[in-house]
Amino acid sequence: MTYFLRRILGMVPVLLVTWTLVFVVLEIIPGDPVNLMLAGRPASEEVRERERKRLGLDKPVHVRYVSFLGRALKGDLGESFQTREPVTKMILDQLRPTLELSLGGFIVGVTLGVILGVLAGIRPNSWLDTSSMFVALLGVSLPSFWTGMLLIFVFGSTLRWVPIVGEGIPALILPSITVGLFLSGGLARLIRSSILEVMGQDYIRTARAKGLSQWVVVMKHAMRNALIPPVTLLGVQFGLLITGAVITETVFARPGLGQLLLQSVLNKDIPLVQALVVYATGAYIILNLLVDLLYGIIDPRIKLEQAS
Amino acid sequence: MNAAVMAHPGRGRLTVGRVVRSLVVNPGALIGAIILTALVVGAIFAPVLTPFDYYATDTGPRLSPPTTANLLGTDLHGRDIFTRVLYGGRFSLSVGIATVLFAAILGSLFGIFIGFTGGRVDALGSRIIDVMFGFPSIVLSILIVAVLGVGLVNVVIAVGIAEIPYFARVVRGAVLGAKEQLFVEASRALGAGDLRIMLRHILPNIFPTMIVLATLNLGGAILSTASLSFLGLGAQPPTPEWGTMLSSGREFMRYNPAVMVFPGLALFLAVMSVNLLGDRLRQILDPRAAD
Repeated sequence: MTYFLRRILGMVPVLLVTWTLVFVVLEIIPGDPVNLMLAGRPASEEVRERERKRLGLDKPVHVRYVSFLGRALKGDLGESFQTREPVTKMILDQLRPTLELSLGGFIVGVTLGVILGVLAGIRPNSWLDTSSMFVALLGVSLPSFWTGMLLIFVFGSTLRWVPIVGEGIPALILPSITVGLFLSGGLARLIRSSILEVMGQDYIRTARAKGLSQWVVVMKHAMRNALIPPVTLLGVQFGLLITGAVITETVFARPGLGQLLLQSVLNKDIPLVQALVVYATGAYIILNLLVDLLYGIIDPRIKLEQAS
Repeated sequence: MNAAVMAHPGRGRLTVGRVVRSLVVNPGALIGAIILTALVVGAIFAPVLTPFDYYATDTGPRLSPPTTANLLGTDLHGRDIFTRVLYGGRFSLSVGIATVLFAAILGSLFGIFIGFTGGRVDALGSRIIDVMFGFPSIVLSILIVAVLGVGLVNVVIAVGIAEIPYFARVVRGAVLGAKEQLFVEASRALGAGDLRIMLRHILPNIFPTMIVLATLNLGGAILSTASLSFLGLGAQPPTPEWGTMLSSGREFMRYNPAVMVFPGLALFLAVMSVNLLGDRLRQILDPRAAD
């Protein structure tokens, strides 16, 4: 338990530094927030002053900083300059499509990554290895906005096999493949090298010597250990999922957090940008914590080492 | 210069000639080198290779499929796609290279500084690197573009900053290793100062690592900068940058897929060829990574 507690406490400075960074960055964005909010509409000095007071912009910077941190913790990050809606509500409204897309992309990416990585890893330097790694190379080299457009063109508009707009699973297929392909390349390479390393271990030789079949050796003995390094990287994959979401949502004209982030930046909707970054880093950190805990479950040795 | 001759214990001396030779014998790296050379030559000699100007409209019928006059067809304004793809290399490739240089220089300076100083500076610096890694890089890039404004130069800075931790972390590790070596101790005994040791002895020593890292990051950098342009944050139309061309072509691909196929193909080939070269380079210069 102390291990988990220490891990959680270790996250505090990271969150603090990130949120401070977000505050500072948005503080130095050129342009008066009130002007941005009015978006060119004429307003008297009186109105401007009242808005400034309402937004708390009349207070000195350190007061605003402390109040920002407090509100970030409470999940109340103000209202959008553009729509005047609470930003937390706007984010929650767009959460579902992005979660669906991320989940779909994650399933495609992990499935493809594991298959390619294992095929390549158990027969190094065979044609199977070469072709799997070629597909992985395509995965890391294909610009996902181009993949998305090609998929739309071929399967959406020309063959008309799947819908490209709308809700539900069918409309999610092409976007998921777009995000998944992007994830799978790096994952496949990692799993391959991890399998190669594990297959050279003594206990694999022992398992073989016992007369176990290749299938049992790979699936029961090698996989569990080989999956440890890739699992630790699942947290990092979150960053890729966000990238995938921003680009894929743009290509497929899907609503979601990626679109919200892009639009908020283009409109200089500062409270919205702030809230998105605060929540994204929060989610990232919690996810990494979960991955660490998962890591301890897959490999009990780690927890023991940390405790001693 | 030390970069040309890299000392490698037990494997003889790795010279540039030898590195080039072992790149050429590897089929993947050879293919990568050929494609990349073709794209670079195409970008440099574009004015000779095509009769059109990349801004010239109505070089043929609008949204025309490939013909003998317009090898890869034309876009919405009748601009020649072949011409624009060739010139696009000038923007997309140099932006990628500039990004990696930016990240490599700042990242290495930071890595050398914290690794060499050690102690609290190192602890704090490593923490900063961790935090930067923790920040999803596209969010960081978008945030920086939000501060600096839309444009190609700002995209270089934004993606460059997001890539700094990769260089800083590896260079710091390499410096920690190099610091304990005898030649550093020897030059300190000869009275060399910290700055001199860092720049004259440690920097050349970690140069091979940096080259590998820079090549491995170049593919990603080309991809990230093109992505930001695609999102409308980087190059603006009518600049013939590949990401921007894809973004403008998105609405018209139904009428002429060429507007989307060829800029994307060029971008994909560029990233793939750099990745092929980077993988091979890593195997040569970092033998532990080879199987």
